[in-house]
Amino acid sequence: MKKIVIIIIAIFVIASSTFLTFNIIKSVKFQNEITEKEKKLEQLKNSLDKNKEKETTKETEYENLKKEKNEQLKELNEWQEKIDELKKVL
Amino acid sequence: MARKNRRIKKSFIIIILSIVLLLTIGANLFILYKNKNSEKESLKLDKEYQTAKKNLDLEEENLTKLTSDLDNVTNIDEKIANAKKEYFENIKKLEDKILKGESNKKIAYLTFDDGPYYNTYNVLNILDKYNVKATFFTTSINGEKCFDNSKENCLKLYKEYVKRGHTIANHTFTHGIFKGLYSSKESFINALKKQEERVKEQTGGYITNIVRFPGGSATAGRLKNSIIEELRKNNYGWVDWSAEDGDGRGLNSKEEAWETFTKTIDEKIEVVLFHDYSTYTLAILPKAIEYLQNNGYILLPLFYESNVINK
Repeated sequence: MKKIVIIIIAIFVIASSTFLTFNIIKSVKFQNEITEKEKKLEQLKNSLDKNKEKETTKETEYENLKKEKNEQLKELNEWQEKIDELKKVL
Repeated sequence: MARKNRRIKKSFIIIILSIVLLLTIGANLFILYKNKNSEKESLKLDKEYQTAKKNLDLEEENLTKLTSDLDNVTNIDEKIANAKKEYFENIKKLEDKILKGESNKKIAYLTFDDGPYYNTYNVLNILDKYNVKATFFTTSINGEKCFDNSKENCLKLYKEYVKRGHTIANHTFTHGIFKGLYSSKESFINALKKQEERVKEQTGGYITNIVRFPGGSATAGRLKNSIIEELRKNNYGWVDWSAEDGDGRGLNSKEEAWETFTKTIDEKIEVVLFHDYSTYTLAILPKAIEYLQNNGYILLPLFYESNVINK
């Protein structure tokens, strides 16, 4: 009788250990996946920050230049409008 | 004794195996819980990545647009020059279509001779009101002071023409029909070049190569062909007119100006002659613009490549 109990418990132990091994492997995979994703996200956030910095610099440059060339911009717009009007009748 | 020992051994094994089993079950539960959290974490990271990617794409789009806007402003002079070129190329296309009968549109080129005068300001203001661009055939018979208002400096008007988007053309420096302008082709070309310099100097570099003979090309008489030959050599184009209100021949009333004007408008492409100094022309100008527009004319400034410019 005790032999049968030992065998049954042993089978459960083997099964549980196998399941545990499988879960540990899965856990390691998850951890690697998370590390990889965190790395990619970090890179993306760095690119975003760099772009925002570039954008701020260019925006400032653009606003300054726009003030400086305001009259010429108006003239360019007028020419563009004239071209658009003419294209309607072509 | 031996039997007792075997029973104790078996019980011990059962206990150990049970402990191991409980430990592995516990470990499994712990790992399963951890994996569940890891899965949630992984999904959260996926979402964060998608959002960050979207933001990056938007930022890149903004940056591209900003770079393009910056480029437009930095190279604004070039952009304006290209826009002007495109505008006149499109007018040429329209002219070609009209002349081939492929368009039912009509064009009228309003031209004003002999200025600048002080009255030119009034002409410019009416043209502004109707958003019409015209062509001004300028001379320097006025000198610095306006003939019709000696307190005012008429040279300032050259910059006004450019600022308001009109074409400046050349009507010779002296307009000296009775003062030797047509005594030789050299005297004509010299008067032309002098006026060209005046225009360039007063506008900061505007170059005009469109010419009108004072009094019309027929006034040059026997010299006409040799002058035309010289004009071609110097890359000038010239134009007379096909419609007018008669203000160059002396008018007695604005009604007379109106009658002459309406009688002469009948072509699909008209070059209309007015004079800056004429108060009768000023009086009928708004009505003349409306008349042309209501009769399907598009009012445009002259340009060298136009079919109406003789080259």
